[in-house]
Amino acid sequence: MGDAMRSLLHHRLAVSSIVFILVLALIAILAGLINPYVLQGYSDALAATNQAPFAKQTLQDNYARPMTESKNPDLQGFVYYAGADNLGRDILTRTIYGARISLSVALVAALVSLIIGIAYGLTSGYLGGRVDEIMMRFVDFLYGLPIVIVVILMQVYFKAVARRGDASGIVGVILDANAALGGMLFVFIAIGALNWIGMARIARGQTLSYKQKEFVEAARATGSGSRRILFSHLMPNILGPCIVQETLQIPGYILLEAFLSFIGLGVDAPTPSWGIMINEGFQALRSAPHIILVPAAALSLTVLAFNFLGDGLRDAFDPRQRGV
Amino acid sequence: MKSRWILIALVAMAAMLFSACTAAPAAPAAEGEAAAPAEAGEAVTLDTVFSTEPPSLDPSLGSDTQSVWAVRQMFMGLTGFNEAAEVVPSLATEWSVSEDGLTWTYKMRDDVNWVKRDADTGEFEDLGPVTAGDVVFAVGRTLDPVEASPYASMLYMIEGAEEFNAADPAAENFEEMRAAVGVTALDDTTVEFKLKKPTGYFPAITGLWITFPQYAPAVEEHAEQWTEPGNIVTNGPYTLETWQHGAYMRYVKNPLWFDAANVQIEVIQGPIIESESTAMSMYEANEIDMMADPGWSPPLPDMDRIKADAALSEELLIAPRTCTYYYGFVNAKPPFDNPLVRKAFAAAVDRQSLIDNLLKGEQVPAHSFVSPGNFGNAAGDMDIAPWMVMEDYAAQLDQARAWLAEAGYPEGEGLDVLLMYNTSEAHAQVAQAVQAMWSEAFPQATVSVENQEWQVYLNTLLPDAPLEEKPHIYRLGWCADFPDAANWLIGVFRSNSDQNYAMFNSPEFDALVDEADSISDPARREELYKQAEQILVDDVTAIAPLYYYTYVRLYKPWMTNIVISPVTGDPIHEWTIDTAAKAAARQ
Repeated sequence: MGDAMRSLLHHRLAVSSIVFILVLALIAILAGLINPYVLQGYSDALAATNQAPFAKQTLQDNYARPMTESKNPDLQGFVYYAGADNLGRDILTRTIYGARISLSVALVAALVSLIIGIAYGLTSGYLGGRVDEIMMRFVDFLYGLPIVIVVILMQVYFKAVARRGDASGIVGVILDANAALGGMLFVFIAIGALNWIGMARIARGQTLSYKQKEFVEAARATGSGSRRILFSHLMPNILGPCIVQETLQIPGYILLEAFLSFIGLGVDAPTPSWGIMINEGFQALRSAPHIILVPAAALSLTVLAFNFLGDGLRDAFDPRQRGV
Repeated sequence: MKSRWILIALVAMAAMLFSACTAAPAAPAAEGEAAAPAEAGEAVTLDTVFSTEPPSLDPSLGSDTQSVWAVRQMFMGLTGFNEAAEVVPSLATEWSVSEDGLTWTYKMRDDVNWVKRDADTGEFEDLGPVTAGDVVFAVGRTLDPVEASPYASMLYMIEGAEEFNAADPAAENFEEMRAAVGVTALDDTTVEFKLKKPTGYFPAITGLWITFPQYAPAVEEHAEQWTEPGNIVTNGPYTLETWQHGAYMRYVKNPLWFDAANVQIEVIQGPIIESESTAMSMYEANEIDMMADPGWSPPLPDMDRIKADAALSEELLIAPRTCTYYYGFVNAKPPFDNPLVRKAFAAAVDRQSLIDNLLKGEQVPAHSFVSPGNFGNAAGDMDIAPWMVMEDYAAQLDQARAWLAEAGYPEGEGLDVLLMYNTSEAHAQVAQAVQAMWSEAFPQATVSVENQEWQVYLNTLLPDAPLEEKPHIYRLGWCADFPDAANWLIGVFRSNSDQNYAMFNSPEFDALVDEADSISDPARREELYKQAEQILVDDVTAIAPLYYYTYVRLYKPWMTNIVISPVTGDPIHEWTIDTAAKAAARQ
């Protein structure tokens, strides 16, 4: 492990990616304290109208160019460093808050996919035989589902139920959870449901190859039970490759969230997701190209950073790939 | 080596990003061009986009602007409207009314023929003259409960119409009821309507597409498929050549039309593009000739640039339009069953700011439902709901807050409000702007917005759809089908109207509009309509009118003769194109 860590730290791009991601995470967590409205001393003006900084709109300022001052008398002197969007909302503020969505999607989706995928693949690979056959055919079946359509149907159904306002039982629980997550539950479900299957296949493959190894035989010979073999012998061995694989998939999750939001299936307005912001900027591309710039740059940089980090991790954990 | 791969990856990413941005506009453009190489000697073509698939091309069933636009290109009815919104002869050359105002007789011209275009050969087949019987057939079909026309209630002044439309198709006397509808063909070119009550504006009703004649054999042979290319039989200046559902439409000139010699534009064609920004880039690339019905208006984000640009500002056309954009309250849904809550939300919208900062098309803040340009409108009467359009918005806002507090929701405490609109970039921007205005006015209230596709949206809003599925507030516009307040107040908000999505129900209002409908004294009618508006918008505030529309359109300079109709469906057969200029620009 020490060797791997040293190797990772020598990977300059990976290190800068880690720094970038950490800074971004810090910004996302502290968004409420370090957004331009607070930094420029306008938090009282927002508090008076009970609006979140990312939702504060001033119609007079719509399409304001970068570095221009607000025309709103309540916000006199406020500077839009990255300009304002079609409804006069500060783009920089919205981008900062958008990082929350992208990073939490990255984190939650990766964890969900890792936990379900490893548990599923481990069980399937270890038990083998008919059970393995059935479990893997189920995975094949899930691969065949048009998941975006399933998510659209779910969104439509749950929104209709929410409007009725008399949800009870499991539906009510789901709706409460969705509200608590700021409308992101279905994004999580979409991404989680889509991605653990790949992880399950990798975990199963790894398990199949390791369970033939001598140290497993030895453990069995000395009388270890299934649980001990699974958790003490197999899991530590397959965890490394699985984590590396998962890191490489995170950019995909972030892009999928941005895509779902772009087509209007992500978080609810006015919560800023980079996908929504890019969509809004795209509509004004010809007349106000600055709107799309900041969120698009943030999205690309974040996706690149996770890619480089994944590369670095793979190189570090897999000596055969080193220097290729 | 490694750093080079990273560079390549970066370049590739950048390339993907940009291709993602440009891919959408490029694809449909290629399609439009492939279909229409605009070279000299080719057919004179009006290139446009269609903003959506027309829900129906059946004159009996259309109810939205897209369908009506298409019907008006392909069919002609007894009467039409000129640019000044006056009723003019069309298929009928003259009409007269009996002493008691109950019997209307129309004399029709005999030189308009039914035409069918063969889908395989492209030949036009003459199927004989349009007769009075075709009008009788069409009116009967619109009223037929089996067809379930959403506009049938517009014809309820005809004798027996309401009874037939409400009849059970399984009833024994169903055919007798059909025959009892007060429309008859006296001979091949004379049609007579018998009315229940005198209706002074009846000639405007015969200009509605739901009364346009239809060719019975085509309808009977192909059932609901009769509006497909090759099946459809039309009598207007254009007919349908191609309809690739969801993708592309093409109309061609009817060479057998009685006035075909004076129709210059031979083809109207374009892809169905549901994004206005995509349409705008096609317009700027000279791929389409206009940003107007049946396509899109110029996108809101581009308005400032259009006005600043030397060429585009010359192409911009802004003119009053007889439409009103409004937010309706579902009056039956708590807490919006309380008029004070409705008034508070109606007042807490800064209409002037919306227009100045977002819409930018010289729209006029609305404080009544019937738009200027209609007989009986109250837009100039500042006694009606002046509190919606005060000079001093701060005072208006104080009034709104006071009303909401009086209703028992100080600062909006405990309110969770859903605003719904049909999917569109422009409606989304208005909805989000209004959402923020309400959030600022009532800090404790939660206002969420949601959108649905047009067809789904209309089903959600239908008066007899389940109340729990409905939003509290919905967006709609109403455009005059004929320029009279009756079309607005009776057509939309009478308690039995199919369009009454607000579920507004006031016997007093019904009595006022019914009385106005049954008399012919213009001054008295105007007075009654004003009183009805007073109830609808001010006293109980069933809806919050936002603004009166304007036409905001772009036409390329080679569009040399544009005639804009006061009702939906511009007469494109009267337009002309300077083909040489167009070809030069597209080189």
